[in-house]
Amino acid sequence: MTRRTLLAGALGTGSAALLGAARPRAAASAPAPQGRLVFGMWQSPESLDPGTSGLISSGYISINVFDPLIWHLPGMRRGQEYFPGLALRWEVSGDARRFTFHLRRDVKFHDGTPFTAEAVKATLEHIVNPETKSRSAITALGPYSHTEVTGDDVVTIVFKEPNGAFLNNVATSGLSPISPAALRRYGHQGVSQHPVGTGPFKFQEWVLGNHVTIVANPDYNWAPPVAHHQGPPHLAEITFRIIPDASTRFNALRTGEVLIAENLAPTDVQGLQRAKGYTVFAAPVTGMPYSIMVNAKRPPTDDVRVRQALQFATNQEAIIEALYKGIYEPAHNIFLPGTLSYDPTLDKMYRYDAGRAKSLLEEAGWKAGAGGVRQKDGQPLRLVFINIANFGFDQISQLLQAQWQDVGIQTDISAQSFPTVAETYNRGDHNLADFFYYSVDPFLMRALYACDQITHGFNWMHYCDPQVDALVAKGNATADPSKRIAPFREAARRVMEAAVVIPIYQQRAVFDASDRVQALRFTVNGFPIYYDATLRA
Amino acid sequence: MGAFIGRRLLASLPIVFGVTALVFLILHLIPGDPAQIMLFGTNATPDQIAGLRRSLGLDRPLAVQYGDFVWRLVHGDLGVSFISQRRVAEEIGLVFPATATLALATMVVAATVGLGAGVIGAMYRGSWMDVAGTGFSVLGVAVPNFWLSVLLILVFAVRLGWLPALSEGGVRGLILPSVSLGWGFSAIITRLCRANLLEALAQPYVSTAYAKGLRAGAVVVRHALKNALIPVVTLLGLQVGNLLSGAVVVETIFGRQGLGSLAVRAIQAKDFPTIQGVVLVVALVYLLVNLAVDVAYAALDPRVRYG
Amino acid sequence: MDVQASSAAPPAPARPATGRPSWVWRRFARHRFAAAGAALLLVVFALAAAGPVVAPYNPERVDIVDRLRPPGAAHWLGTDQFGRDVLSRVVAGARPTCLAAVMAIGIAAGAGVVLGAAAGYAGGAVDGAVMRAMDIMLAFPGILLALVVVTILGTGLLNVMIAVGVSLIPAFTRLVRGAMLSLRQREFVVSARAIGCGSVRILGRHILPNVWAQVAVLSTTALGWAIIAGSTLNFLGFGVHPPTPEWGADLNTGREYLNAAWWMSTAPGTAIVLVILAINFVGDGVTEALDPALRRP
Repeated sequence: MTRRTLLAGALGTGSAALLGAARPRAAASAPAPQGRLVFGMWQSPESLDPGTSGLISSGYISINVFDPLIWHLPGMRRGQEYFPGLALRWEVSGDARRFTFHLRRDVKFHDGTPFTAEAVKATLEHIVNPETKSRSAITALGPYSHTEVTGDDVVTIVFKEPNGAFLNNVATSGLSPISPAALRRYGHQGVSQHPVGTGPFKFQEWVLGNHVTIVANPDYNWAPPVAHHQGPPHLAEITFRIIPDASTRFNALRTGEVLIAENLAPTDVQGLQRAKGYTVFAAPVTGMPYSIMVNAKRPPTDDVRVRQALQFATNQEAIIEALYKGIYEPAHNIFLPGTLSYDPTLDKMYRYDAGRAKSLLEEAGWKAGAGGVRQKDGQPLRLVFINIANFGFDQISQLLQAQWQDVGIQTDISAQSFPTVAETYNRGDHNLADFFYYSVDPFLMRALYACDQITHGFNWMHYCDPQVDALVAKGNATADPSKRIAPFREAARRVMEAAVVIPIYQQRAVFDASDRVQALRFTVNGFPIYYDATLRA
Repeated sequence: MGAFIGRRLLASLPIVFGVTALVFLILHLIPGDPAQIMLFGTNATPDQIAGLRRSLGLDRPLAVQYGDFVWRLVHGDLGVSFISQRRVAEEIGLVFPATATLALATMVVAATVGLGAGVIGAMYRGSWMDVAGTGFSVLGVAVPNFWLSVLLILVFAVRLGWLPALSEGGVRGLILPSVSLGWGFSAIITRLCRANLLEALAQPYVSTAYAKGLRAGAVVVRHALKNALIPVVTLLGLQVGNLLSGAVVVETIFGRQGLGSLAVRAIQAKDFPTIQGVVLVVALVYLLVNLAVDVAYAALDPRVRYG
Repeated sequence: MDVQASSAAPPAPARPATGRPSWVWRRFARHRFAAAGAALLLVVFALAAAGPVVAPYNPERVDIVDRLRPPGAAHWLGTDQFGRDVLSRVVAGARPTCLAAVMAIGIAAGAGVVLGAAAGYAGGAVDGAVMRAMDIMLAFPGILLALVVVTILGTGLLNVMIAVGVSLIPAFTRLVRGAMLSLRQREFVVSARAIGCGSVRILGRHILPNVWAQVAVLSTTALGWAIIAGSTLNFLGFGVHPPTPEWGADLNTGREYLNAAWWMSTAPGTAIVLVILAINFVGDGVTEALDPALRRP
């Protein structure tokens, strides 16, 4: 299993949710930061600028080097989802186009310059600047118009259209403030190698292809009230070590060369669950489950009955049992539980029922044929399944192939590497494609299901339903969560009825750590936060 | 000697340009638009993608693009990576030492094992030691690199704890990767060394040396080995391209930065400037190393110089 | 792993320096290994020819209940992550693996002989052009060449082997050219030309038969390299399409299960090692048999 993505998701790279809420103790005189933590990750970051980067590896680092304006912590306190970060309080206009933040005045960047409203403006302007070539943050930002600065500590961000998703997205590292002095000094490209934020850790070095090291920020004194302590972090140094091979990451964990590893093979994770001396963290994430996308334009999957037959012929429970037992749960919904507007009733729509699959295929004209493959007008029922190479779907696709064979469908599996495969998907050469999507907001539907995302976006299902587009826009027209749920649910129902997505499993952010690592927290998208973490001897 | 080197350098130029032209052509034949890849997921409109293509110079005729590439190359500019927006020369410069170190260490291992097995094989020709020696080095070829690396890590890092699983700077982190790569290369060195040593040992001057009372070991070392080494040195020069291939695998497994992994990432992302930069550097190294080998050859054997 | 230099002609025999009866050993030891190797290769090629029919179970049959079973009575080499019989996959995997390797060598040897013959025999500008082209190919890192070919043609065993074959062409070209250069000066060629034989006839009847022996020797070494190269490309993510069994691909898949199910990769891995060892020993035997200078009195 691999959680491979080159995009942290168009709608943001994770908002900060500090799990395990407790009243914060005021730190009188905390001991000096100590301890060195090594984190084994599989992919090298391409940029350490949160405004530019599209990779999760970069997000792992940025969430500790930069602070967001607000924190998104659903479930921590009744009636409150958003908590102060660099902003103490905020207001949203009724049409969800103007967001005003009142900022803290005691914050400094790592280069010593003060954090002000100008910094917020400079950061957003940097993100939308074409020179920056922002991969992810620019989409998280949305239909940006301009920023108004009124005084050192009040800033209003204005959008051209309603942007109900913004509160979720501004709580991510992608939109976190960057030092304007650093932007001036290094330029839009240069800040990729010289990240200067306000976070509890500051950047020390980046040895290309080998590791990135961050060290404790001794001046840090503006931790959000929901943190477990105030003042500098407990850890002195964190090294993000790049180890592309999963078995080596595992072995490095065993030898102690890394203390936390991500993306290990499921059998190894299961082994660690049983072994002594290790903790397996499985942080829930929001967004879309690992799924198969079905091409609604290419025969034979252009027939909704064939697509629905695929849904009924898929036994997610068997796949989990075979591959991810004890690690993940099967998924039956286009949203993950915990995502706003997740509708549990949709889970029941396509429970495994091979008989029903067969009758749907019969109804669609596919009769039993030679070699166990159904036929219609002399054509066999063959599907083209193109995997993303090394993405972690290879075994799933083989199991699906076997399951679908049972109802008379032949599947041809191949793989192409990212990013070539994205073009293939956009062209529509496939019947079946892999995907998952990290996002904090149901507005992810826009990126996945909108009609204009087919030729060059993520709509690899080539699915177009103007009603869905309208509902999604409606859901984004307000920032009030309670008003957003209904349209998104309706849109989700329509998408599921069209059977263009076959959900497979609810992934979690799985990290395997030595049990020396204590008090590790995670964002809503499963990024580890090290502020409160300590290392036992 | 100077004229010899000069002539060889001149002869290398067409090869360098040939390689860069070939790569350039191939890259543009590969399906995939770098601009689209760079803007992937940003909801860019087709207009924006076209705009990026223009700013990257990708819309000009191929000949013009190649000419521009060569012009900048002559001025030492390898362009800017599409992925990281960093200068390619800078990125290559950052990872090259690691690959070079690995390559040297690999050569040392390959030469040691290869020469050792070759000498034993020649001296005790036909005995079980001969077969064992050849078999040992052939084993290095028979086991795929990535598999051998994992096995070495399991045994020496996880079970025994003698060596690190990850390749950091320093000698200890270099041992397992270089053994993993070098073992495979040793096979051909063994075969060559053994064969050439056998031939050298058959020369009359060897019998004379024995007749004069020199021990077998001394004979081998002082007289025959020098002649046997020449083809081995030649061989090492030819290995440069293959060394990079093996390095890709080993760097991935041991978490070592280097040209290999840089190249693979660049290919997957269609990062043309980086790919071209890496190929160019490798070609240059190959030519320089072979030139050095030929110079050494010429220095050792005057007949070569005017050939 | 490089085959270029094995094209160096084997040397004249050496007299043993001491009275050790090594000629006895040589006859039995090396020949015994070569014989054993040949026997193994025959078995492997027979399996490849027979195909999956010979396997005890259907190598692609998925049986989740039975997954990751260690070697035992029902499954001699255990089962993989889908419950497929490992022994069956090794047996069935012989065909794609061998086919692919042979094909790669076919491409390399075919192109190499043509190019090398042209360069060696015609000489002059043709020789210069061909050798420059080979230099360019050699300066180009092998794996990069393979990666680029696969990126253009797509994944799949066939394309992988085309890539591997192409990267081996310089080795064969150099070998054949070298042989050409030395042969064309030999008396029988000069006399053939003197009595008016055309170039093609000379090539076909006098020169090429002598070259085949060396090509055969190089091929045996290159076969091993082709198998490994294919396996490595699988590791990098390009290769067979599942669920086809293939030794390199299964070796790579098994890596992920190394701790849970060591037999998954040990079986195909051992198969690869044995075959390559066998090829090498057979190759040595062939070398010594074909080179008259090495033949024992």
